[in-house]
Amino acid sequence: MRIVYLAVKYITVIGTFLQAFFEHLTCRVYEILIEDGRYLRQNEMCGHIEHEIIRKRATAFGMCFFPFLFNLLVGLVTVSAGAVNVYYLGEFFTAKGFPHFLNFLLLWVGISALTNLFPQWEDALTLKEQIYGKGKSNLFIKIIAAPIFGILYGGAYLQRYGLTLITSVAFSFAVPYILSTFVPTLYGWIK
Amino acid sequence: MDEQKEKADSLPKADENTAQALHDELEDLAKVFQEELDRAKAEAREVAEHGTEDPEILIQGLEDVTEHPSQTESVTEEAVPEEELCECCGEKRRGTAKNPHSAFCEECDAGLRHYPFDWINVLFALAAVCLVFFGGYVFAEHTEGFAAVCKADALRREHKMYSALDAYAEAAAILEDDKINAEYVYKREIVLAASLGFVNGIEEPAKNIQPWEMSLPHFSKVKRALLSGAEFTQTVTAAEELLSPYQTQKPDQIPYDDLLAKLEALKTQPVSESDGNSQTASKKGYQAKAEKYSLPGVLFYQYYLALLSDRDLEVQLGFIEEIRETAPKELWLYGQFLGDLYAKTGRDVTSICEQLEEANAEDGAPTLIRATALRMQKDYDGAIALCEEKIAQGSDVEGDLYRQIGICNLLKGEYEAAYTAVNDGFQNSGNPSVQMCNTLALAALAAGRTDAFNEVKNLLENSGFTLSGEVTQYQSGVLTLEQILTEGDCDIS
Repeated sequence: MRIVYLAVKYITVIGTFLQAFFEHLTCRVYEILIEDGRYLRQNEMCGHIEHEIIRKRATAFGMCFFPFLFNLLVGLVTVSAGAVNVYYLGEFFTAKGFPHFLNFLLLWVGISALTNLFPQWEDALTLKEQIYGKGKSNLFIKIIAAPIFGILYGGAYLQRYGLTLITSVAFSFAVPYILSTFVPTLYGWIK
Repeated sequence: MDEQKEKADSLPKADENTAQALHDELEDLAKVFQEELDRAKAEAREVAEHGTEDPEILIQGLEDVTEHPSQTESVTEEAVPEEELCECCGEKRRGTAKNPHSAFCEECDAGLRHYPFDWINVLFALAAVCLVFFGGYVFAEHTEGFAAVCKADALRREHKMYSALDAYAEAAAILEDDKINAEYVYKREIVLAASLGFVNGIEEPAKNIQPWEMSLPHFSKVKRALLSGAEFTQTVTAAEELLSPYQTQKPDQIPYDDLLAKLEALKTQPVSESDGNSQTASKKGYQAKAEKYSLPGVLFYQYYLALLSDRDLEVQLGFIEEIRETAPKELWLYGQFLGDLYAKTGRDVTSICEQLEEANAEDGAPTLIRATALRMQKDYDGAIALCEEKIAQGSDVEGDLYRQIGICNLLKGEYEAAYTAVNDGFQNSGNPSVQMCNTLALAALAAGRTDAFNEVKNLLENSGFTLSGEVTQYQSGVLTLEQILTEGDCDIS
C-alpha cells in the first residue's frame, strides 16, 4: 500500500507540495514545532510536515482544517476551469488546431489539489482525541464539529491508501454538471 | 623528470631556510610562553592578595570561557551525557522551561517553531497561486459559452429538441466568437440534428473536429451520425432521380413494379464516386464517405412510391413497419407516417404518439395523428378541439392543424368554416405544401368560392403542379367529400 500511496503522491505532486506547504504555513502560524520540514519524502510522511504532538484542540483542528481549506480552494478553482473546458466543452485543441495543454494542466492541478486535501492520519487521530476523547469537549462542540470532523477523518483514512485520487477524478467529472445547476442563473443575474 | 631534477637541486637551499624558520618560531613560542607565565603569576599574586574568591568574578570568568568555542565544547561534553543532548544542535542539554521532556534545547525549540521556508518552495507556491488566479480568469472567460451550452442541455433534457438544436447552434456561435474550439458542443449539435432528421446541416459543425478523433470512442456517435447522414443523402439523390419523372403523373401511369425493383436494387448496390461522394483532402475536418445506400432511406422511398401509386394502406404500412424493424432509432423517418397510417387503418395510436412525444416534446406530429384518429372515429368535434388546443399552445405544424380542422368541418358539412380554417392554415404556412393547396381548393369548391378556387389552381399551375385527381373529380361530381375523406388514403393527396 505504501507504493500505491507514494505513487499517488508523486502523480499528484503539485497537490502534494501545496498540502505540505500549507501545513508548514499552519505550523508557523500556530507555532507548532516542526521536527522534519521536508515536503517530498519517500515515506508515509510524503506531502506532510512532521511536527510535535498537538495538545490543544483548536490547534489540532486548525492543523487539519486550514491546509484542507486552502487546497480545496485551489482545487475547486482549477478543476472547475479544467473540467468544464475538457469534459463539458471538449476544448482539446485551440482554434488553430494545436493541443490545448493549458486546459489539461488546470485539470491536473485541480485533481492533484483535491487528491491531497486531507490531514495525515496521525493528525486526524489527534483531532479525534481532542474532540471526542473522554472529557475533552462538551456535547455541543461534539455535535457542531461532527460534519467537518467526519469529512477530515474519512478523507484522511482514504488518503492513507491513495484512494482520494479516485474520488477527486470522480468529482472532477461531476463538477461541470454541478456548476451547470447554478452558473447559468448566476451569469444571467450578472449579465 | 625535469621537475624531480629541479627539486633535487633546490634541496640544500631549502634545508637551510627550514632550519632558520624553525629557530625563529621556537624563539617566538618561548616569548609567548614567558608572557603567559608572567601574566599567570601576576593573576595568582592578585588572588593571594584579595584572600577569598568573589563568586561574581567566577561567573564572569566562566562567561569569558564560553567565548572560546573549543574550551566550551570540552566543558559541555564533560558535563552533559550524550543521551541528554539536544536532538537538533547536539550541543546543549535538551528540555525547555515549558516542556522539560522536550528533545530540543531552548534555542532549537524556538527555532523549530519558526521553521524557515525554503525560497524555492515559496516560489513554487507563488506560481501555484498565480495558476489559481489564471484558472479563475479562464473559467470566467468561458462562462458565457458554458451558460449557453447549459441552456441547450436543459432544453434537451426537457425533450424540447427544436429549441435545444437552436440553442446549441447559438452556443457554438458564442464559443466560436471567443475562439473556443468546443468539440463536445459540435458533437451534441450533430447527434441531435441527426436524431431529428436534419442530415443536411450536420457536416458544417463536423469540420471543427479533428478527422483522426473520429476513430476515438467518445466521437463514435458523431461518426455514425455523419456516416448515416451521408448514406441517407446519397439515397435521396438516387431515389429522387428514379421517382422525380413520375411525381406529377397519375397513379395508374406510374410503373410501380419496375420502380420498386430499381429501388430494391439500391439496397445492395454500392455508392459510386460519380454520385458526388468524393472525399476531398483539402476540406477541413472530417468528411463522411458513404459506401452504400441507407436501408431505411430506400424503404422510405418504397413507401413513397406506394403512396404515389395510390397503393393500399396496408402495403404502405408494410414498408414503414419494415423501417421500424430495421432501424428503430430512426424515429424521425418513420414515426409520423407510422402513426398516420395506424390512425387511418383504425389501429391504436397511443404508443407511437407517446414515443414521438418522448423523443421530441415540440413535435406537432402526435397531435396530428391523434386528430386523424379521432376524425376516422367520426369524433369531429373532438379532433377540432384537440387541434385548436394545440394551436393555442403553439406548434411547428400549425398549418396542418388548421387543415385537419378544415377537413373535419368539411365532413360536418360546415363548408364556410372549413374554408376559413384551411385558408388560415394556408396563410400560416410559410411554404404551403401541394396537399395544403389541394385542400384549400377543395374547401373553396365546397364553400362555393370560385375566385379562391381559381386563385389556388393558378398558383399550383404556375408552380408546375396540377390539381389533384380528387379535387377535379369532386368538381366534376364523380366523387363526394365523404368518399375522398373516408375512403382510400382518407385524405387529399
